[in-house]
Formats: sequence, C-alpha cells, structure tokens
Amino acid sequence: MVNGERLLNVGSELLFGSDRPEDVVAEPLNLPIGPGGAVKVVKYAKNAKKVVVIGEKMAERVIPYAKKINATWFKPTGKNPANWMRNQVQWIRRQIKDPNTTIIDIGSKGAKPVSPYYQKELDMLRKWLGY
Amino acid sequence: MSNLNKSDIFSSLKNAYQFIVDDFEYKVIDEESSTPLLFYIRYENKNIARIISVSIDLREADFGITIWKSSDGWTRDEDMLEFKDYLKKKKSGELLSLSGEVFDLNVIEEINKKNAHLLREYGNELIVGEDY
Repeated sequence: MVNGERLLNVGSELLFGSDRPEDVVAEPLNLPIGPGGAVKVVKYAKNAKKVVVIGEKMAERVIPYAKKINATWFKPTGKNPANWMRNQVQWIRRQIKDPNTTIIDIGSKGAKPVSPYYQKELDMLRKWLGY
Repeated sequence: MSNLNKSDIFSSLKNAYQFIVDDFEYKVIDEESSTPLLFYIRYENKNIARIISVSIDLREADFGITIWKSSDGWTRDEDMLEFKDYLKKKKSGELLSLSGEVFDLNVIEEINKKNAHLLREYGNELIVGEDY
C-alpha cells in the first residue's frame, strides 16, 4: 500500500441487477486515492475480469489514474463526430451490463461536470444503477 | 476526419513540445496515442518536482496544457494548473483550439506550434518550477 491509499467501501445499494447478486458484493477494495480525492466504486464485480475508470478530463486525470491501477477506459475510435455520443452511451451500457466489470468513478475536475460525455455516463449510471 | 492519421497527430504534438525535453531537462513519463481521437504526453522534471501534460482531445475540441507541482510523480487536482487559465489571468493571450469540426492535420499542427510557443513565451516560470 503506497502513501495515500485508502480503503473504500462499496455502496451496498449499488447492486447490478437483482438477478445476479453473486457478482456484486459489498466488500472493501484497496484503491489508491484519485486526483480529486477518494474515488467511488460505482459497480463492484466480485470476480472482475475488467476494471474501467470514468471521470472528467481523460488525458489529465482519467487515463493516468486508470494506468496506475491497471484498469482501462473508454477509447474513442469512431471518426464520425455524429456517432461519438452514441458510441459513448453504448460503451458505458456494456460496462454496466457486464457482470465481470467493476466501474470506478474519479469524478469531475470542478464542482460540476462540464464534459457532455462524462455527464451522459453519469446519466446512464443513474438510470441503470441508481448512482 | 477520415484522412487524419493518428501517428501524424501524435508526432505533431510531440515535435511541438520537444523543447520541454531539450531545453528544460524534463523526461517523458507517459504518453497515449492508442486511439485516433485522444493524445497526450506527460513530462516530469524530478529536480524541481513538476509535471507537465500536453494533450489533444478531438472529441472535446480541446488542446490542453496542464502543470502540476508533484514531488512523488502523482498528480492531484489541488496542484493542477491549466495553462489557459494562467494565460487569462496574466492577460498574455489565449490557447488555440479547433473551431467546430474542422479536422485537418495542418490546422492541428498550427495549433500545436502556436500553443507551444505560448507556453515557452509566457510559461517559462512555470516550466522552471517557480511557485504559482
């Protein structure tokens, strides 16, 4: 454990669906502190095969943190701007639905999210997980 | 933007800010160029406890220059200074960005060069580690 790491509790209300409770348990995770302080475990998969990080400012905050904890992040590849938001929505939806994915949120840079893409992710998490 | 090549965009970014390495003894500690829309390079000078990140986020039309005080290689929001805010405060100009969805390598190169020039011209104190 490096300096600044904290034990974080997974909110027991953030269960991923009621049909697969075995995939989501309220257990502590050891995670380094994020750029803005303690990070939030939005969805916890007990036997996670993948950990994804969301948040604001991909280059400055999200990707460096994801690399630090050996996680992954949304990698936009579509070259047509008309599809960018739809691709983002489809990606976060897949992460929400995948029982083997843990989702970590490092939050926005300021008090409120500015990025429309991050805001959309939060909307989806609210809709599907009550986040 | 179908003709844009990600390695060309990344090279443009790297070339524009090479002076950070050549003239100020920073080392590249991280870089990202795995997708065609998002690029960054992170530089660190351990002697003065400073990290600089330069980035291009084409989805957000954002060309970022960010500076942190950091003695342990990690960066926190409380130590984060966005160079565009610093310029605004000093009334020393404005970082360029893309207007709308104009995706052209020549335009991107031009923006990188001009922003790098602004950093070199007005951000010298930040680069050499003075407090902010």
